[in-house]
Amino acid sequence: MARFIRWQGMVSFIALSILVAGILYFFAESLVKSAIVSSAESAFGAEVNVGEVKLAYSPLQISVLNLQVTDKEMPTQNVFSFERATAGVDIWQYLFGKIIIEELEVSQLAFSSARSNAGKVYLDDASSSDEKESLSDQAKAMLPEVDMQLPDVKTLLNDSNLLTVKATTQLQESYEVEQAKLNALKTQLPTKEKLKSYQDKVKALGKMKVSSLADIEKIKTEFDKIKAEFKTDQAFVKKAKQQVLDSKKLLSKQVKQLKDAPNKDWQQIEKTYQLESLDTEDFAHILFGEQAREYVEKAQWAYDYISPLLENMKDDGTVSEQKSHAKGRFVYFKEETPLPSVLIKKALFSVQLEQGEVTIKGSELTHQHWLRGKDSLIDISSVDNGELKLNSKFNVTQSGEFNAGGKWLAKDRLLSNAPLTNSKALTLSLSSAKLDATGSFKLTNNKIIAANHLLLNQASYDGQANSKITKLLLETINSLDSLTVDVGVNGKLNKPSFTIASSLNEALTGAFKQQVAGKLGDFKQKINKGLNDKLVNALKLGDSQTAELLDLEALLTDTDKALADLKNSDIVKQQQKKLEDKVKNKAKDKLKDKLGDLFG
Amino acid sequence: MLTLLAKLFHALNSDSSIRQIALAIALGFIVGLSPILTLHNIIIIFFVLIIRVHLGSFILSVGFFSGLSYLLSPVIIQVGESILTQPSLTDFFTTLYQFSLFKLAHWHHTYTLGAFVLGAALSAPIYFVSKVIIEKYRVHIMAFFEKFRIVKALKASKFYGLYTSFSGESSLTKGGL
Repeated sequence: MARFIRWQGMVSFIALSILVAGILYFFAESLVKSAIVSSAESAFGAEVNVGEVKLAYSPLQISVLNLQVTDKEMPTQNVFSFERATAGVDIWQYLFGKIIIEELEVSQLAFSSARSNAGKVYLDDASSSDEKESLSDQAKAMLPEVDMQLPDVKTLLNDSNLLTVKATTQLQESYEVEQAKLNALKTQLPTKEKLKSYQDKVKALGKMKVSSLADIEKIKTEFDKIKAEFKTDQAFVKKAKQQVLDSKKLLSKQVKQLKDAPNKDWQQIEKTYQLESLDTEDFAHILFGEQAREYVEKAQWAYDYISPLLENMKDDGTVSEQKSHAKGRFVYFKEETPLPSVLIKKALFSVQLEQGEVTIKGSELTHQHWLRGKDSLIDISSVDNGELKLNSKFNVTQSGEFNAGGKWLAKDRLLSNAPLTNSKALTLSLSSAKLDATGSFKLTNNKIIAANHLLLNQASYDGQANSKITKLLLETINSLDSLTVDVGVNGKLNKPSFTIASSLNEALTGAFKQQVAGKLGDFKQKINKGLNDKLVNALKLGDSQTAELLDLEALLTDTDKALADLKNSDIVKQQQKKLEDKVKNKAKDKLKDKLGDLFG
Repeated sequence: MLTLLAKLFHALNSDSSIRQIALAIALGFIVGLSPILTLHNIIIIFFVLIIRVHLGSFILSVGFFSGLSYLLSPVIIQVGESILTQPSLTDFFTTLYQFSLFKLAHWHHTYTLGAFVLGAALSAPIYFVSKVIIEKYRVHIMAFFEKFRIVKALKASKFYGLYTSFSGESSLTKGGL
């Protein structure tokens, strides 16, 4: 046995174990502290300071004191800081590779607190700030548009791009072109004299004395000659008639376009000068939309932090955590009483805000809710300033779907110095007000549906307006003692659509419609009058030209009829009949003479 | 105190046959490949101390293979990943997972299991390869190391004097079994 075993080794093993345990015991707090600092710095991309870390071993409890996380976008501020965080960790589960925290308590949590020294920034994330700007500036960008001066009526009416002007010009040009065509045809038409000469010639043929068939033949030849002449004329008349028809068709089409043009022009003017956006609902968007967007941005920020945890979820027997090819990962299998890889059974945060202290209670905080079949609950409450309550829950399904929902209410909450909007045309802030509000929200993956009703009582505002419209808005809002705002949010978190309705709309409608809409109505009347004048003038011109066309048409019809009458004239037949009668009479006389001689 | 420590080191390093050194290297390979504070490593360290293997070689081997493990980590993780996520082995691992010892050993971690499996599978070839190398080049290696000034300085130290007074000779100068 002694050949293989050295009992001194046992002493060494015990000594080594004691040494390792001793090192861990004495340096554990420093090791944990540096681990927290390095992992938080890589997560937040800026300097993280930890005052002290304390460890208690029975049961295992970690306390982190005075933690400050630098805001990488504003290094003189912290993203958040707290005085003390204590977490009771299940040591046995920790050894199995799971972080199960029985109770987490964070006290004096504060957001955006000032730092004594500016923190170092390790990562520069420019994309997030761009996105924020693009969202929050949307509402502000609306004010200069509605504040735009109404355009000058004269200049507007002389604008060559107006459809009315264009259609008038086109109609005039068409009249000229068509008239030239008809005039050219007119010269080719048979004159009245020519027609008369045809008629005279035909009449003369009718009066010709016929005594033999040769005379009839001669009349026929003469008549065919005349017919050939006015056949050419008839072709000209036909051509002219077709031209008149085409001209009438074209001109009536252009007259119709001209008649429609003023209406289309007005629509274009409204669109170009944003006149249709002069809607009272816009003001509710401008004043309250920015705040609503900020809240949704916060929700998006939280979701963006949570969503990476939802990735790489498997729905078979194994459940995986995030893959790390440098460190590997735990693969969990089915067990009788499964536990999530990370679970905070109870959490309590006390948050210091400007409006007072807020308590946040959480339970069952994890990303693997299907294992214990319980939802994570987060309740927020504050009684320092009126009453504020939020009850919410969320869960992640095994297939990775994220569901959250909740309700909130605020009662008798005093608001002060809340900025509403800040732009060139209008600066407005809520000096003081009492807020009563209720709301609910539902989040499925990254789709949000939220409805919120806010009632501001005893409100006073402070602001500056630099245009007539914004002055009117400021006066109206100042005259209101209470104000309701209903904010609806719908759609994807990164691109939500807001519906904001407010009693401000109704209050504004009266004043606004009287002044702004009145001004707008006057403007509309002037523009429409100008456009209609143009239309009437163009149509007047058209009327005289149409009359001309009608005259020509009548003339052509008459000519055509006269030519047709001549063409269809039965002068040859008449002469033939005359000859036949003559021959008959002659034969009759001859017969009478013969019979007289016989019976004499 | 120094005498006591020298006695202890002598006891631990006196087992310097080729087989004992090769075994120390093979065991050092398993330990070096895995994260140091794992259950199977603690057990191996316990056995390394208690059975007659060459401790110096073991420590050197652990140091060397720990560095190699860092370079080989993607391969190690891949091995662990493929074993743990093998559908045909799911039932087997599910059964093992019910035992606290399995979870305590972190064999459900891709890196730990991959390192252990690779270490266990390759330890036998490493044992035999080490044996051949030590056998052939023992003298050359010793001569190579003795050239270094630091070795000369260490040999001149009081601690080395005490150490050799117990061992008679350095472990490396001893002949193989």
